[in-house]
Amino acid sequence: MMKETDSEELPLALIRIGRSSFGRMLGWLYRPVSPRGWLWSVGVSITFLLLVIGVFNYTVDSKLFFLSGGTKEVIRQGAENVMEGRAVVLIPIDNLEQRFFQRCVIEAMDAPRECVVLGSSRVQFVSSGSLGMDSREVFNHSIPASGIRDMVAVLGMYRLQHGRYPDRIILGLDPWMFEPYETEFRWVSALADYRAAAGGIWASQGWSGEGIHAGFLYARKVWRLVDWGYTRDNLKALIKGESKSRLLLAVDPGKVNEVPYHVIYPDGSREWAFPREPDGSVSAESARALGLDHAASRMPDFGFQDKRLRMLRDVIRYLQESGVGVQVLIPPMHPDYIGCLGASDYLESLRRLDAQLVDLCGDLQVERMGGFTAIDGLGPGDFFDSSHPAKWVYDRLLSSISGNPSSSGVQDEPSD
Amino acid sequence: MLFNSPVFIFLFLPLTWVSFAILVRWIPGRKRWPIGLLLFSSLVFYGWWDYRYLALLLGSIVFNYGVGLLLSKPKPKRVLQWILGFGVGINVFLLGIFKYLDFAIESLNAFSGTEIEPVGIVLPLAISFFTFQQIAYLVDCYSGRVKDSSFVNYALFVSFFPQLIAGPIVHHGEVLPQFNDPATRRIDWDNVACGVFLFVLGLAKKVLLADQLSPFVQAGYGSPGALTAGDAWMLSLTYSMQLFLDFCGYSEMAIGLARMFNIRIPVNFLNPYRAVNLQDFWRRWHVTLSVFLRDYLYIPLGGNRSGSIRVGLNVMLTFAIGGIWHGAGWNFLLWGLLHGFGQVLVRVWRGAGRRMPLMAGWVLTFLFVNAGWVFFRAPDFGSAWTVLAKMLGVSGESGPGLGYITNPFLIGLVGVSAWVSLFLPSTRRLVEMRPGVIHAVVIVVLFVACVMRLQDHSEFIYFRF
Repeated sequence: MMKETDSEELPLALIRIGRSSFGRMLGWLYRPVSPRGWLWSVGVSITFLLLVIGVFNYTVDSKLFFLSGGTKEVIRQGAENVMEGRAVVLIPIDNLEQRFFQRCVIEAMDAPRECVVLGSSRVQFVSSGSLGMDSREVFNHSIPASGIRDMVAVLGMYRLQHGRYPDRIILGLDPWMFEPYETEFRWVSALADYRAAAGGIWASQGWSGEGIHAGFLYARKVWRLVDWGYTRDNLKALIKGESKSRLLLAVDPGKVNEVPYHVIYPDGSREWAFPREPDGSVSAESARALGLDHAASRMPDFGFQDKRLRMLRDVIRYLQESGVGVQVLIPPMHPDYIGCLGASDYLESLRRLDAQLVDLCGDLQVERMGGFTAIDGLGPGDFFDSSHPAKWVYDRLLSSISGNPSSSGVQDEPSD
Repeated sequence: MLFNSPVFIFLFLPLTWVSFAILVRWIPGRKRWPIGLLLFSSLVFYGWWDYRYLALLLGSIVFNYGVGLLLSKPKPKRVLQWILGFGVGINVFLLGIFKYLDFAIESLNAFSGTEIEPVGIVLPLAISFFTFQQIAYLVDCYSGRVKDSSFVNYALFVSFFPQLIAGPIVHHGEVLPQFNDPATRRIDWDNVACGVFLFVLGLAKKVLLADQLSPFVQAGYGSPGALTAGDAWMLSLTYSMQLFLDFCGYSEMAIGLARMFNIRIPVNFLNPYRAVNLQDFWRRWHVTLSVFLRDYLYIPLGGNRSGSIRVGLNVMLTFAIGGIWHGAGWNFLLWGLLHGFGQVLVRVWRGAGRRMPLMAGWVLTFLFVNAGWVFFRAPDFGSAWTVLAKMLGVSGESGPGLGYITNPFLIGLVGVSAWVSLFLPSTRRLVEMRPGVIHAVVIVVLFVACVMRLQDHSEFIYFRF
């Protein structure tokens, strides 16, 4: 028969029960187990947890790394809107998703447009108007933080979707495309497209190391399934799920200036919302800050630069052999940026790059417009931030090519 | 290859261990094969960083093994002394060329105004560690204390991948006998479990704590002028924690890895921030280096056997060499001399028959060590003085501040790190622990958290030494 506990003894009894339960639990937790069983349970638990995390990240896939996320259809709808001739608002979406956007655009095209522009955010302002063409003849596929491999990936999208390339391609270049600082990992979301074109570009030249490189990148991409950063992004996306549903909405042309984010026009060119003083002082300030930072922190890597130049040469030559007309657009850097580089080695490397691009375009008989250090009469107000020239600069650079095919824009040789 | 890189954890280590297990389980007749496999893996491990330096490592091994053989044969003492001097001299010469030549040129330029161009030699990984181990081997060959003369064993003793890059500095007497021990050539699940446990704990110290502290340290020492007094204190504490967790994490991973292959290597850390005086600190911090310096430098110099002034000089010289061993720079020398001076002070204090309350001893010791790390980490003297002056409130001007003392993330991180460094059992106790359910839970959670952070793995601080 159980002993009765009166009310005064109850707390002590509870403590005794608690103590003994806690003690038993502690004893169980610290009880040595067979090392083999311990290792098996640890291994199985780790595998299980990593699998759960991997499945979660693959399912949410907020940046479309694996092209399995729920935002795919929204981005596809946005691309179709653009193809139907409507401007869309781009609520900031990640660079990775912008590669998928380009793919959706190319899939929605009946046939390749006559002229396409490839490059980074620095050439996103190039429009059909800059080229003196109809908006249905041009598409600007520029992707922020793009590298040369991104350009190859977009070419691969054309090859996979249409089996051919556009008649004319304008390659917009950045200095960072020739530096190890480029964020080349981002293009891995377009890996399959990249390989489709890279096969054509480098297969005939034997071993290039590109296959191995792509393999490593693929492994890194898979690693993202268990990456903390991506898990955090996906958790955030899941919690703020509604913001994704507003992606890429069609916008009334009359209200383009009122929207706070990028607008993508039917020719793929962009309009950015950016704060700027009328005298351009904000842009000059950011250009100076970037210039000082790069002068202090960026070391020229001529070996890497040469590798990327060879890559560019291969791409251009391949396009020429495929019957594509190629032009190279080199938007100048902000004069205050160049000024702040001073006599640094980095400025020397930019000048060297300019000179090598002149040679490359000369060798391949490719039309070239502009130069990184070739600033002819441009002032701070002609830029809206540290490295992005205003739209009229592009209009000026590009206006010459329709009338005078041999013209090279701002000036023929880079300034010293 | 780094212990905290995916390629090591998911490719190199499993491949090496499974191959080892196959050899000891299914081909037990081939007794030398497991040792050969470990040697081969160790060379791959080293060559992964830069295969060109593999020749340097192999050359050093062959040279020292040859000198060791010569020293082991009976010869007149005078001849043996010459051989030993030659062997040690070549080792020191190589270390000098690779590690100190540019430092010497820059110092000469600074003091005499010459403009000699530094050679720009890349410091080969682990050269300080494998040079010290081999010097000790030669000295012991000379003294007749080396029994094992197998080349493969010797090569593995020098290049064994768990301890090759940054220690613990292993004495040949501790590991060479284990290579011949039949107990090494079997799968011991107790050892494997213990090894995994230690490896993951070390990995967590590195990845989840030290690497998270690193950006604050970099930013603080990158712009010391911007620090306030509070920031400067927080910065010094942050680096003290980062350095301990980084190096202790590495050492525990090394001990764990060796244990997976049934090899026991000595512990390197015994809760050093619990030390109550500087002598106590050096018995707990980088134990294997302290033992090496004691046995092969301090005692041959005369140790405690001579007068107090001579003992003080011996201590100062030992610590000066210990300091400069860490890196080619005046700040390392000063750091070593500071600790030497501190040791002498402790001896004088004790010699006078004085005692210090434990708590006061602990506080003073930690403050001294913490201030010493400022010289260890600062990129130059100027930065070190700035940080110290700000800590003492004598810099005259306060910077705009980096917000370290109001950053809850940093405060929390330093707090957890301090708890780990003070209250978590030392490696010696962890090695003896028999894993239970709670350990399994902890290891699973820590390992998964580490894996999620491995994308941006960083080098260990002691790799530079």
